[in-house]
Amino acid sequence: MIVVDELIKLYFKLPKESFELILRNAIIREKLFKAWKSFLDSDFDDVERITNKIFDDVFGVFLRQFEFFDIREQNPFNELIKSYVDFTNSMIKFWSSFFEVEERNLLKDFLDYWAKMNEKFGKVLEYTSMKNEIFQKLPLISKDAVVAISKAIESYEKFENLRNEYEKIILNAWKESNKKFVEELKTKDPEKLSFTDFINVWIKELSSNFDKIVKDETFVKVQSEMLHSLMDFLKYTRIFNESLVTPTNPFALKSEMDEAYKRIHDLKREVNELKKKVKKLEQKVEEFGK
Amino acid sequence: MKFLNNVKNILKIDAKVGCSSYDVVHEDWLFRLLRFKGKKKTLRYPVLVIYAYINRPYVMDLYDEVSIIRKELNASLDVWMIDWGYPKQADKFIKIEDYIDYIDFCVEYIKEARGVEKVTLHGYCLGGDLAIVYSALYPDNVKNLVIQALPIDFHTDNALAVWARNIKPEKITDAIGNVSGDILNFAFLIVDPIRLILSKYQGLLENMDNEKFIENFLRMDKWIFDSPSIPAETFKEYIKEWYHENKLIRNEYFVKGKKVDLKKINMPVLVLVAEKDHISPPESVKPFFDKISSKDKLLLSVKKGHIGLSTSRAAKEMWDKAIEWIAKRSK
Repeated sequence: MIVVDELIKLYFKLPKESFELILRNAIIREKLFKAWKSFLDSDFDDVERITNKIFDDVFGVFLRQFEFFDIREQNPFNELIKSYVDFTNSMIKFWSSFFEVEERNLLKDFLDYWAKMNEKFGKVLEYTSMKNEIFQKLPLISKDAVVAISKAIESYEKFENLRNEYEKIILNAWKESNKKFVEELKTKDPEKLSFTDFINVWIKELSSNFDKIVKDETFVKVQSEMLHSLMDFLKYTRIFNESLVTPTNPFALKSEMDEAYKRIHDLKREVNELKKKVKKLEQKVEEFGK
Repeated sequence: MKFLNNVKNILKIDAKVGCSSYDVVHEDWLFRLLRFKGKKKTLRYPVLVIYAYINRPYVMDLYDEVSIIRKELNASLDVWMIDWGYPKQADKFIKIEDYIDYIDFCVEYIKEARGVEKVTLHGYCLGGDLAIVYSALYPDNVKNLVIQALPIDFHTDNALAVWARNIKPEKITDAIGNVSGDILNFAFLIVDPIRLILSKYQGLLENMDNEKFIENFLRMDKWIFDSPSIPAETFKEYIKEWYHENKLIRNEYFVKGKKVDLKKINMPVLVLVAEKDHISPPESVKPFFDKISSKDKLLLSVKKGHIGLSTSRAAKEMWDKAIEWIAKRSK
């Protein structure tokens, strides 16, 4: 029996993807073994039931990734605003002790406002259908921020619908393959079909169906639009975060860092071109000297 | 669980990757130029291996029995290789022209170090496309061009090409910048889920008492999931201009205002193709063969997949011929 320590060692030994896929497949193999036993007993309904259930073990590799993007779980600006509030509180303490600034109550009120706004945003995001209330509840944030959060929520809703459609397509294809697999099994002699052969027949059926699905126009469209809407959600959430904190933010924003990186790369290219020109000139001078 | 219990066997195996030693002779922030150590480098023209900017180059030197680098060294070739590194967000503005510029830097560096006027380029997968672009722009610097498992006509109907033609790369890069290794791994799995998630690993579990099988499997998996990010600008450019618009094979691709004209490729060319390649199917490279003006050209193929072309023992015969071809033209 494998023990937890061994699993932990295995995790550190393997790429995280290999670790997950090997474990998932060991569990799948266990289920397939039961399905094969049912086949030997000619219980085809049970074969279909078991193989249908394996869907989650296989496609969980993809589908669980999307859980990370659950807007209600993620709430990225909670942490952002919390960091900002913590930082500004530290600044207030610093100013208070060194300069005894009278206006510190005003700053405190300002911070309280941010904290309250954060709370409201959390609620808005918990119920995406409430997006229109942003305009009533948060009239004081910049227009850029309102536009961005509105687009983020729209993209998220689109993503949720497409994700459901995507799951439906692959689940139907999966079930359809298992039906065909069972029909194929009915033509086989249980005495002659080993466990390995049983798996191979199953995989062959699935592959032939999924090879068509992954190139199917509707599937490809749903898959790419799902990806695009997820990416739009991430983009507009970032723009919203940046718009929210811009006026008093003491840190460099991602878009500002990007601009710096771009300038560095442009400069590097110019330096490389100049180096080439200098080298050519040096060669000419050397040739002239000879 | 019986099958889960068998997984313990993996713990006994030490699957090291990369079997040849090398010196790092130049570093440029992210990119590095490597020179492999070899006892005899008697052939006149050195080889510069240009790997793809997806995954890591050690697949060409995975282990002794199948190492292409080792085969080239044993044929008395002086082998150099470019390592494109692991791009960070600070590298998101790296463009394809930057890769071409670094290839040019390396070629000039090697020419000077070896006192030769030309270098043989050996490109793998998208590194093959970079080698082609460079050879078309600087044909006088290229002794021989060897390309393996690359797509150059991107309008094929394999699932990866279909997927790539349907995505809007700017949606991804605007959201997350560089396209991370995790996303790339996900994309590769999503285009062939049954084989890559199920079939491959059921094959491993079937062979849990075969140490050699497990060892080679782990080496391959380590490589497959060792995926550096692709810089955002590079990703946008190659998805749009290569996959969407198919500019390379149409002679419509430009680097810094210079046209990449495949007719300018006039040096000896060796093309290595895997007949079961689901990433770069044979039909994605064959049109290139007709577009170039080289008189001395050869296409070798093997009935393996994209990775098997480099790592399978069954490809030995093809590699023997390929190395002989390179060595003969490197004197």
